[in-house]
Amino acid sequence: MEAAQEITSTFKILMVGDSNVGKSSILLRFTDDQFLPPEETSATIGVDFKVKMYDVDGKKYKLTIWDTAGQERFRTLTSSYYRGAQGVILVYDVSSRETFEHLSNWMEELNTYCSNNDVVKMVVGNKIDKEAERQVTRKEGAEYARKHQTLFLECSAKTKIGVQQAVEELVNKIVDTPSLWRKSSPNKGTVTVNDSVPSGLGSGCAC
Amino acid sequence: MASAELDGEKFDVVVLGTGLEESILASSIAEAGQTVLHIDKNPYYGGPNASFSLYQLFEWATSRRDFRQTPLVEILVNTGLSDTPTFVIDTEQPVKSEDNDAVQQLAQYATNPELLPQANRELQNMLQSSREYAIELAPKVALCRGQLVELLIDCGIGEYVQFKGIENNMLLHNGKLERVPESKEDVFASTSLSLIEKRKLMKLLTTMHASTEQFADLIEECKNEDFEQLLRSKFKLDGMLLDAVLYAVARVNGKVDAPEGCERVRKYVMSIGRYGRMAYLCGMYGGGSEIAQAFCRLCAVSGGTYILNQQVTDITCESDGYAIRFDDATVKARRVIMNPIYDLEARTNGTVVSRAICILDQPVLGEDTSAMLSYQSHSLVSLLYMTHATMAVPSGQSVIYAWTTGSLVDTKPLLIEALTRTIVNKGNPLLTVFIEVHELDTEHADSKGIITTCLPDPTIDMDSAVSSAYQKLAHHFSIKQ
Repeated sequence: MEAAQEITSTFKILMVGDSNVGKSSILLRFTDDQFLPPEETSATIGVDFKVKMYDVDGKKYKLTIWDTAGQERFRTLTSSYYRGAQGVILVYDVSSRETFEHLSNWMEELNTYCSNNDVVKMVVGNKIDKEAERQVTRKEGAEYARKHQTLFLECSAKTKIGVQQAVEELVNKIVDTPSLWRKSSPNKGTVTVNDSVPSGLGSGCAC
Repeated sequence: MASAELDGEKFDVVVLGTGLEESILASSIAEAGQTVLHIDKNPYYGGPNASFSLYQLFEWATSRRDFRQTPLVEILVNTGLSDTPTFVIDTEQPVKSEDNDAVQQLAQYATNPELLPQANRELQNMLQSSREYAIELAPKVALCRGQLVELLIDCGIGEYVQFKGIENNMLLHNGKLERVPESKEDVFASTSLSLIEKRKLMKLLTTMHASTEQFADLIEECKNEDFEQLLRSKFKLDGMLLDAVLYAVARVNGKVDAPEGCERVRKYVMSIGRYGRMAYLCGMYGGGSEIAQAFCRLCAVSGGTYILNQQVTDITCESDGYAIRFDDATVKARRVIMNPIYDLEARTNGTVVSRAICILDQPVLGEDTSAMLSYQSHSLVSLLYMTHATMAVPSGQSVIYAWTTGSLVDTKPLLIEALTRTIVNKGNPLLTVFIEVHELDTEHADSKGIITTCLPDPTIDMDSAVSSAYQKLAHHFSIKQ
């Protein structure tokens, strides 16, 4: 199984953006290759993060992709949501200009809370299947991304177009930015509470 | 406003305040399948457990805080510890919207206007790296085998929070800082303990680490005794060893009966070795706030709705629950849980904790480490030392928190003494903040059947918030842990 193969690193990737732009759909399409029809989706409930293994140049990376848990609705994402992220996917809906205009708010929040300045950002315009209702041109999206020095792609979680590619590009860029994920000093010796006994710490036990 | 969209909506439970206890309650209730609306009047999470950048700290001190709960804040800027405060903020003054700069606002509270320009310069210097500070209002640690850690694991949200082990547990004894030996290895390795002392400590460690049955026998045996008496008679402890067990391990403040004292020592001893050689963990980036946020996220994952920066104007009882009013909306709930500050009728009840936050220009107890300290004088002072290692302050600086029960006027000399003895000329305070925190009475809320939460108490760990939440979950919601 996966555990047997050594994982080079684990990446934390965040989804942000307005409600109903399709963050959860992109996530579901990427991790499970599924798409739920609109009547079956509602505001995100029950999705915390999804895990997917990903290979680059024969090395295995574990991606944990975090959804907003609906906390984007009133812009109450916790600052801890942003901590330790290596990549962020900022999603807007190409058929809703408002969601595109709100990217600046999300960008501002990212810059406030992301501890690492090198964090890789990608702007993604979703729902290109709704071409007839398009309100934001591809050019505008690309322009915005260039201005903010982020990656850019358009996709459709419904038709699959661009989804895999978006995550791949983001991850490749993270892999190319080792400063983001090589153990840096603040994370040295951190403890994650779980049931397993930490290795290499010695027993230190008083018994 | 955010709330307008919610006008007319019904929830099973509305929770007011995002402190640790409220957040644990909200997440457990949402996980049990009930609908939760969780609100904070401030634009940040954490309530009384909040953690602040430097700018946010000043903003809180001048305008955001609840003046009933925290009537007095004194700030000393670069003037050592014993001088008179640079700013005393003891009255609520309306915030002028055009004058939103927290440091400007601080100036209104200057006690010595001639020193103001210099203080202002110092503050502006520190504010340049404002966001590198995570200053906690009620710093707390987690016992490796305490209820909080177990709860984080049970909920599957251990991954949400990063901790670091607190490498040192120290006792300020006869003016000296003494490291408390924590494990048998520590006891063996100690050069400051005599052979007889080592034997006594080993006996204590072995007894407290005994099987559940054996420990139950011990509790039964000593149930009518006083804890200190037990340590003296059964374990023959005295002097520094006795003080170390009483104050740095069991953290006794006043008299404690033997079973309670033994439970505390056992919890401490059992915590050692779980995640390393230390008994305590402290959270990165301001632990209490991060942990509260972890529970809030868990609540959101279970469908909870979040609004911050939302004032509640009124709560009225109705036949089948409550109507909670905001400026532009009214929602209904079957139950309301709140921090007492959301009750405008609440007054102080006489329980007071005083706290000091001292930011230093040097990592006085070491750069890449943290420490829990205790100082017993006429009352027990707890101190927590943190550095850049837990992202509490910028690299090269450190922060020492000190707290004890009692009003500031009574305990300030004690807090200063404890801080001074910890720092011992190894660094200079850049900024010291003294805070007096009052508990609010819940009589009025109780009369309406509203469930109220507790303020962070003076204990050092977060388990009291967890057990308080457990009691409420069992009693009001039939949710058993």
